[in-house]
Amino acid sequence: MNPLAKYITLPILQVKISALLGLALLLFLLIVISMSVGVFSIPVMDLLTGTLTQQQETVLYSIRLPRVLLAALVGASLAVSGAAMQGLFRNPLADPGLIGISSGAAFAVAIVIVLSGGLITGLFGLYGLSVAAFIGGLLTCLLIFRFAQLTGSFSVTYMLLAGIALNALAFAGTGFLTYMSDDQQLRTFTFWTMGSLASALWPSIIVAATIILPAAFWLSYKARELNILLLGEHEAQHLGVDSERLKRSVIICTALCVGAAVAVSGIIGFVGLVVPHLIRLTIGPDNRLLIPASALLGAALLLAADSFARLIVSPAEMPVGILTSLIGGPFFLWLLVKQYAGRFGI
Amino acid sequence: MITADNIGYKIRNNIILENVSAQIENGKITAIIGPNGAGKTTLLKCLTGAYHPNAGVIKLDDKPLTHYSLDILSRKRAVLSQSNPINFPFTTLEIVMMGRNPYVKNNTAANDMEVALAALESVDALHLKERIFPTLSGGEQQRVQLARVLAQLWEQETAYLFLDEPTSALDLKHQHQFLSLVCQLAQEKQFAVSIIMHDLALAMRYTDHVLLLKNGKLFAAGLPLEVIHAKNIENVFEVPADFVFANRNEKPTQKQYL
Repeated sequence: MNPLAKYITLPILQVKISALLGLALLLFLLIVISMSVGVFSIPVMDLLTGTLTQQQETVLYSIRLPRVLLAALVGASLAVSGAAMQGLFRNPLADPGLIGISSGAAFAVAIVIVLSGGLITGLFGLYGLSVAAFIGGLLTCLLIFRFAQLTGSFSVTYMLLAGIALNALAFAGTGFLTYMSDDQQLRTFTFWTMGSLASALWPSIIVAATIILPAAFWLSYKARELNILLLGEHEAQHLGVDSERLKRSVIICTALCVGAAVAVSGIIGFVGLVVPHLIRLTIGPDNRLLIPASALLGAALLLAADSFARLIVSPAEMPVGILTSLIGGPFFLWLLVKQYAGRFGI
Repeated sequence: MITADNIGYKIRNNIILENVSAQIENGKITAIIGPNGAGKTTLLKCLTGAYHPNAGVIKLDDKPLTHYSLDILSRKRAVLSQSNPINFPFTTLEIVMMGRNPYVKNNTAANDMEVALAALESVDALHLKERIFPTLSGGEQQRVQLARVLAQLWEQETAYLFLDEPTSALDLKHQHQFLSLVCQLAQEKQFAVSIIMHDLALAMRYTDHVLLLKNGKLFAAGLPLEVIHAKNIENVFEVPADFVFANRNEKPTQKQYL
């Protein structure tokens, strides 16, 4: 018998791969269910057999399907950027919403809307908004990183405090623009600050997909190096990882993911914090599994939340951002208590 | 061999290192000693290439350190820094396996696993392999990090090992066990080992060459007996010192108890 046999972690690997498959299955089920539920319900059986009436087909292709796909894309994007950001900051409390990257992106979008007089429509306009959100997110991310390293080494306290300050600034800026805006712009703003997927149309999906998918794939491609980065920046460098370049590419990809998500759906908080945490608790912290698993669970979670948001106040609907914050806020508090308990062995 | 030629390092106008010249030789253990804030860690970081000195040159085998790629360096030298907290629940084995990153392109997973386990065994930490790293005690974490660094150079010869206070959290038994292991690597595989240490007795016993730093300058360098003596210690550390020998009849020789 191979003397190493007792050490080889194959069974664990199989468990992990089946966890990924399980998540994929969950996502598929949720996609089917979400396509079926809503003000105008389409029975699951009709969906699966493909026997749809004209009306059902119209609802499915022009309303339901784009929304489902957008929810999945945005959820995956937020969860992946949360996971990557936590790796980059080497701290499990980093989240694009929490440290102000989302609000920085939203502020940039608000500026573009006001300057353009609300004329942003169609595919081109959406790309414009995405670019603005990307730049806003990127700048915030770079600023936070600078502030967090103000003391020489990386400080979580500085990261969170700088996040609070930048969040406040971005909100003040967005608030000022809201005050200045006309009725039409006001509606769009309010929409954003709450985070909603109700504007889902095919162009937004094309925009989101072409930005989010490559960036997310790049991040999972870098997962092994992100693992090494957790040892420390110099340590990673000593192990042959160009940590400066890695950090740069992770910041850009996260800003792209967050920017695209914010541009099409506004600020949807806590997905990036909650999802990677759940994965770490169940599958483990290895980024090679964490990032793809977060993508799947993030998509599933936002899809579920969005379907729920559509149903509870039907025929009206609740912005999904309210719902995710409602779940995420208490979760974050629980996390703080748990970390405290863990540290002092309570 | 690594040579530092008159290197200097400053942050804004604070001089951390000034005119330090040193040689790190293969097959030898070099101790870097000195009071807090003397520039020991900065010197070590310059020698590893983590910091770039503002003045002077550092050469590895007659070629400037900056001319080597990260990839090549990662197979030539390993570095253990002072504690660097890890906030994520990786297992001990996963941490040690990260030390095998430089070989990820041309090695099989099973081989890396074999090395990681052997490295853990060499620091007496094999029984911790499935434990969650952040839950280990300080000394256990230090041993696991040592195993990671050893795994990085496992099948290499004439490699460079830099250790910043590697035994600070270790108990007496593991201190000696680890330093003996390092001696063995220097003798059998011609490793060049540089260790920052505060325990002068350990430096006396295990090292071949000592660099004594004071206020960013090289105060003395040479054989342990030439550098670590009462006069230098009083001068640099500002405490009165005297030798006490384990065997009172014996004259002090190389690698003796202090």
